[in-house]
Amino acid sequence: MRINNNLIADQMLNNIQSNLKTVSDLQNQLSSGKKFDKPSDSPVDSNRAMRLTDQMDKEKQYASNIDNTLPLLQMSDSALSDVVTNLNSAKVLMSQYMNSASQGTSNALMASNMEQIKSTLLTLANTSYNGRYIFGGYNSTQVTYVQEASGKVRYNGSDDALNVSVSETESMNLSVPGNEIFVTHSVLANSGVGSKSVAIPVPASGNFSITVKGLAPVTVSFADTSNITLQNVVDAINTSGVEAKAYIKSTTEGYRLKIVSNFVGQEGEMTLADGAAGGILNTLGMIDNTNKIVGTQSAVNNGVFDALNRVIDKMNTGDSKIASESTILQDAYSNVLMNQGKIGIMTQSVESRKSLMQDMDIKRQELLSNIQDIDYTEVISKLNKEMTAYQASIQVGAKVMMPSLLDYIK
Amino acid sequence: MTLNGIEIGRRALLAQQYTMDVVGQNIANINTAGYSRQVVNLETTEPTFVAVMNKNKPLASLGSGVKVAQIQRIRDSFLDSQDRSINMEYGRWNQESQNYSLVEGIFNEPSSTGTASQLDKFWNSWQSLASPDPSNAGVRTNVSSQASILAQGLRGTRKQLVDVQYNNNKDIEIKIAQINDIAKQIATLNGQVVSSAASGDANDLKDKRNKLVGDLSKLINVEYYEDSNSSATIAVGGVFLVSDNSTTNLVAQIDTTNKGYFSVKWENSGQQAYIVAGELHGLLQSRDSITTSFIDQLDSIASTLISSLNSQNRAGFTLNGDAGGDFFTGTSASDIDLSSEIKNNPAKIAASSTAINVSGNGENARAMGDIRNNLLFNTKTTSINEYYQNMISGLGTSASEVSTYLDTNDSLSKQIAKQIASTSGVSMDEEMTNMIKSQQAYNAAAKYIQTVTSCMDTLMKVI
Repeated sequence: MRINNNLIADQMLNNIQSNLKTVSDLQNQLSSGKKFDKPSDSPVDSNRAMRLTDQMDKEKQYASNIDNTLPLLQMSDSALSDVVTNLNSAKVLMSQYMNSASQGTSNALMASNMEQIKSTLLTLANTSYNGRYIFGGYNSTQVTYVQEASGKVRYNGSDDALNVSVSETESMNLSVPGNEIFVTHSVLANSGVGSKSVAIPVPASGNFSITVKGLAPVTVSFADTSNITLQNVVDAINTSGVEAKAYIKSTTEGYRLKIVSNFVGQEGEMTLADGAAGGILNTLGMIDNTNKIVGTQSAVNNGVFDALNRVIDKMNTGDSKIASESTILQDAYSNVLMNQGKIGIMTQSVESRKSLMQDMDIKRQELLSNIQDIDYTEVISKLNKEMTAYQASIQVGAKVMMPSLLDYIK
Repeated sequence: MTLNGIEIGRRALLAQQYTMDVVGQNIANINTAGYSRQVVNLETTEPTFVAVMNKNKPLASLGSGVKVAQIQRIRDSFLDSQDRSINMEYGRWNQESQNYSLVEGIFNEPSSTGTASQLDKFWNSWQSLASPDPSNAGVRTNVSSQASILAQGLRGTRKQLVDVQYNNNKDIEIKIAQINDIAKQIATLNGQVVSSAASGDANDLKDKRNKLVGDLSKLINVEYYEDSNSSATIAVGGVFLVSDNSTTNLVAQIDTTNKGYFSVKWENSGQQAYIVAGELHGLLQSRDSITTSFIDQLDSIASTLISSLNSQNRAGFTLNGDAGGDFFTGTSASDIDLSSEIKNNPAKIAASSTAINVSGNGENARAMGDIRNNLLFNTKTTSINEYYQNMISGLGTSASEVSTYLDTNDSLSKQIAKQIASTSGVSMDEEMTNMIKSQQAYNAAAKYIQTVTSCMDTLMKVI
């Protein structure tokens, strides 16, 4: 090969430039701390990094979901603890009364003490967090329990537990609706339908009635029986003006009708009746042909407030027969304890979930760091090597560029 | 004694002078792009016959001196054709590679500000809304502002991609003008080469023309022929761009079937030009294939977001218990936006799954956030986020592929340039050696003339 001056110069320039490019790439890595800053630098790794970042971002949100809900659970727990304490005081007061009722001297004082306990319980049942009532289910903005002039206690909340997402596929409960703590009468159908919006089998009658204790029966009727869906039934009940709310509950065996009374305890007890045997409620699995409830019912005795109201009345009149109320209170007491236990389990499971997430996050961060972060020692030693090569190429270049025959012709 | 000796000396002086002139020309053009070194081919002149006293061969041939037979241009036409074909590939990949780095810059991934992170923040805002308090005005405003940011981000990215296309289109027009200009210069040089080749070698004109053809091959695919008159013919896809001293122009014509962008046509026939290499091809590819594919993918992300979030929002109920409306407006990444109703009043976000008891019901918000995990793309195998990630990794793979092609062609092109420089480049040492050789030959010839002259003087004195 014939060699000439410009050939050497060009070649040298190319070499210096390629050395310089390596130096600049390494310096870029050092200053950013990352192996790549464009996807084309490393398509596979940058894709993995993006996926991991995406996943970590998701998990971070699930962890913050849990952080946001923990205070709510703690609040519920402490409210229920106070309820338990007050129920204990009520029990003590009642046994005192049973022993001393005949004397009649301090009955009025006991009644007013009991009234005090009841109002404390009502306040606890209406506990709020950040201005939202925590035992009201989905209805978090309306006062949950209201003592009405008639003496009945109205439950304004809904029969729903709040949920929090803790992973892509799972959500966990983070509250117990109030109607399960201070029980209101509810009936859950014992059979389900496959869809909310497909017509149920044609019933024998388009009418049924719901009677809440002490109130006139409310009739719900459909003119056309051939095309009634579960959703239609629920909407009809909820707009009929009856003192109860209807829900669709999704279970493993399909969608079921649930009716929940608006009033706490025995005073909210409902009776259900179809217009004719084999009517709508029968078809939906709420009652049998004799209008006897076959669905799952809540214990109407655990309402607490109505029982306390009756006790207060009896104390005021000096009636010492409060043994049945005492039993009710005992049952209610265990019911509250059970619900407190539920809250405790929820708290535990979200907390353990969170610590699992923290562990996973550390693992993922480690993995991400392996993918995208540089090894400083390695890069610095490479840079040193390249710098040496670069300096050598300039020095040698400066020397070989100079001489030609011209330098020696005098 | 004849005057023959003086004539030989004169011829020698002349020949060495020409040699020195060529050395001068070579050194002067050592750094001229496209210059090929020239060498002087010396030749003896026709001998004369003189009578000698030999009865078998009464005449002897006597040399009559030296002459310049040719000033030769050292050039390897095979290397030139190699150079042209590498230029064509290099031009294409260079253009595509530039385009990819622009697109990569626009997407700016992986980063904490790109669309991926905006998507993440958007989905997460739904989770915060879902629990524990979906009636909270703060978390609702957060959803609406994250949605606005995402929509704005998608629109901005798309706009930048369209700008890249628009600039490609402008460049196509400029490149066509350059091609036409170079073609015209080549045609002019063709005329000059042919007329001067009849009497001489036209070395420098050929170098000039060769350089222009090299430049042209960077811009567009060319087929090159040189006929026996040294006239160059250049064709693009079988159609003559330059033939002798005439050219056919390419024109950039607005194509209404392709968003009003330019298509490349022949001026005289109106036929589509067949372009498969060079920068022009790279620009056409970038505009019509590369950038377009990313615009389409972005549109498809936006339209999926719009349709899936709208239908889910319509399935839920607002904070007032009304059925939800559309969440996004628009149909693609060009016009996606948060519905003005929600922008003005975040209570219109349908977070609840029921019309009653809406204040604590975040079930529909949860369902909105879960759209992130729904497999909505590629026959239900890919979620929105994965689709976006795959798009970016596709971008990375293609960009690195193109940059590999570019590197390969770059080193090939350097290799060829080295070979051309080795063959045709001027060597200072060589020229200096030639200069000294001719200088010495010149000195010797001068001395010879002096000697012959003094012989003549001697003879004259005798007379």
